[in-house]
Formats: sequence, C-alpha cells, structure tokens
Amino acid sequence: MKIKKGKLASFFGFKSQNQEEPIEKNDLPSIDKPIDFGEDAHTGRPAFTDPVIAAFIATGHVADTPEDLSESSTKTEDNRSVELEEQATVAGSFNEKVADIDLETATQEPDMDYENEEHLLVSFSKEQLALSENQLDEFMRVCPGAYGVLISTVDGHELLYLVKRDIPIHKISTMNSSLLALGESIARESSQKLCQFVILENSDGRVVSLRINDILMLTCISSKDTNLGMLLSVGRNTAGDLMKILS
Amino acid sequence: MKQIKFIFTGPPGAGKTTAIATISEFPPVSTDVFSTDGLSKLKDTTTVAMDFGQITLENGQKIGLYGTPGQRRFKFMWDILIQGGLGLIVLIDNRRPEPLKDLSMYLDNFAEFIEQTDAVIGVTCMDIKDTPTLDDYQEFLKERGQIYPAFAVDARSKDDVLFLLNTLLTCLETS
Repeated sequence: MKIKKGKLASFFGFKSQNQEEPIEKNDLPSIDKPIDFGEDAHTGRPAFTDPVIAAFIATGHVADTPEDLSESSTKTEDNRSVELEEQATVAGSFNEKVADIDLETATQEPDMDYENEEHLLVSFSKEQLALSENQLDEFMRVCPGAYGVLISTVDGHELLYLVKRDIPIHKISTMNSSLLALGESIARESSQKLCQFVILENSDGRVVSLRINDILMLTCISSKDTNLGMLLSVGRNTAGDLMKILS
Repeated sequence: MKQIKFIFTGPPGAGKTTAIATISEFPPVSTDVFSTDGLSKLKDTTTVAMDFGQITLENGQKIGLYGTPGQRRFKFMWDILIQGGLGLIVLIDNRRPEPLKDLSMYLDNFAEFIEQTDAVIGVTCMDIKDTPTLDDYQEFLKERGQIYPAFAVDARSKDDVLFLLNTLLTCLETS
C-alpha cells in the first residue's frame, strides 16, 4: 500500500493544497523541484515557483520581506530584530546562500494575502521532525484502520502528515482548525473545561482532532476497522509524545 | 421575532472581531487562535471559524452578528456563515498595500449573497493611512457597477459600528 508522506521543510514553507508528493528522507528537503505555494489569491497564478525561493525555503532561513513588514506590521523595529534573532537561533545553522536568497525575497512585491506568505514563524529542527515522523509511523502501525494522521497548526497550516489515501491534506488541516476552535468554544460556552477531542463519527469511519500544544494539533483519520476507544487512546498518547518533541 | 443575521467580513486585521466585540450585548463567542504564519507580524491571533455576537434594537429586534475568518483558505466558512444572512458588512484595512483589490476580492467572493441581500463597506485605519480616499472607494465601486455605502470607521467605536449596522438596515428596508 502506497503511503504518502509530507513534511514542512525543516524550518519553513508550507505546501499548497496540491502538494502531496512524497518527500525523500534527506538531510535537507529536496530543492530539485520548485515548491508550489498554490495560487495567488487575486491573480490565480502560482504564488511562488522560483527555484531560488524553493532553495531559500529548503535551507530554512527565517526571512523578512521588508516592504511587507513596513507596510503592514505594527511592531517596532527593535521587536522585529529581536524576533528574527530568536528565530535564527532556533532554526539552526545556515549556509552563505542565505544572504543572496534574502535579497531575492526582499525585492518581492508585498503580498496582500497573508496566507500566501511562504514561511511559518515557528520552526523545528530536523531531529524534531524526524522524531515526529517516527511518532506518526508508530501511530499508523498501531492503528491498522487508520489511513491518515496529520500534524497541523491551529490556524490551519499542515506541518507533517502520513496518508494512505488521496485526501486533500490542506483542506483537512484548514477545516479541522476551525472545527477544533469551535469545539473549544462550545465547551467554554457549555461551562465545561478543556476540550480534549473533537470527534467526527461517520458511517464508514471517523476523524478525531486534538491539541498538541498552543499552536499545533493532531488529526487522526480512520475507517471503522479501528475501535474508537483505541483511536482516542493512541491519538492522545501520540499527541502527548509530540508535545514533548515539538515544544 | 426572528433574529436577523448580519455577517462581517474583510481581510485579516481589518477589525471584524473587534467590531463585533464593540457592540455585542454579551461577550462574543470567538474562535481566535495563535497565528503561525506571516500574519503574526501584524497580529498575534486570528479567527479560524467564526465570531458570534448579538445586539437588540429598540423595537426588540435581535441582530446576530457573525464574523468570518479573513483568510481566503477559510472560504468554506464564508459559505457556511452567509446561510440565512440578510446583509454583509465588509471591513477594509486601509493600511494594507492594495485595499481596493482587497475589497474587490470580498465583493467577488460574496457576489451572489450581496445580490440577494445588501452590503455596506467600512474602511478602518484611515487615520493611519488616508489613501485610498473614500472618493476613491466610491469611484472604484462605480467602475464595478456597484453602489454600496462606504464610510471611514473605527472598529473600536460603538457609534461607528452601529452606524454601519443602521445603514445596512436602512438599505435593506428601502431596497
């Protein structure tokens, strides 16, 4: 059975909804193929296909687009430089190409649609991603009926996923972020405390979403072959392990 | 008396959540989560499902106030939230690089809904960046063959937000 794996580049870049090809397990994500960030919200044309940009993403540098920031940011220059410094420390070492690539991104047109900005401002090391991928592998192994497991951000960006069927990961990560947020709001309004799971029980399967931490969530998709209790239990354990890995 | 439903939409950071919170008679239900992408340079949180608030008019008519997420990837929520809606309030952040293009995007995506109902436009942050001007907005709408009221508003001002609501109600009554 073919398993599709997808992961965010070690530091940045989230894929478009159409980008679900398997990624080789190299030290750095492959830069042979330009990363498709989907279409521009206004023109419908691809947002970024430049291989230089793809290389920039692959090396994991936290870049700014100064025009973007100057026109849209309300933060001070001091705060921004501190934030960048912190991100650089977390993101790891870079090669000298970064300076040139930085210049490339600095000359881009400011993007009106923030969702087309190609980098997340959270970053994880290769080790963290590798360990997370192991967790997802283990989840799929333990739950035989599971055909999809996905780590995504709470605002709808997929980070790492493992799927056995052709399902739209980008849509699922976006929609589940809404669902989890709604579930948590309903819990609050019902005078109940922390929402633990949001469960979609369907005629031939189930989708379970739960939080990993403040910014990440886990979605587990399975057929009816996996018992609900097992799915919840393994899902919770996996989320707990991921919380330790991805903190 | 059946509740009327108005929807607030617009780009991220325009003030939708703030506007609803400003006039809602109860603390609005919000689904804000941390931003993890470029939007976090502008604001720490973003709405990923909906905002919900309510206001009661003097005649006892209740108006449900629904806020959409601003990002286009949440379009599926826009389609859900407009169901049963009677009018749209589009908030545009004038600080953004191309506010008129933003407006165009939302008018296009909600075109069918607006055609059956009505809309008003609130332009926020004009005190920070005063171009395009309101005349520019009107000219832009005229070129699109659309006529909607457009005002400069502060989403934190109860009077301003209520003014938008009253304008929309008036448009609906007279159409």
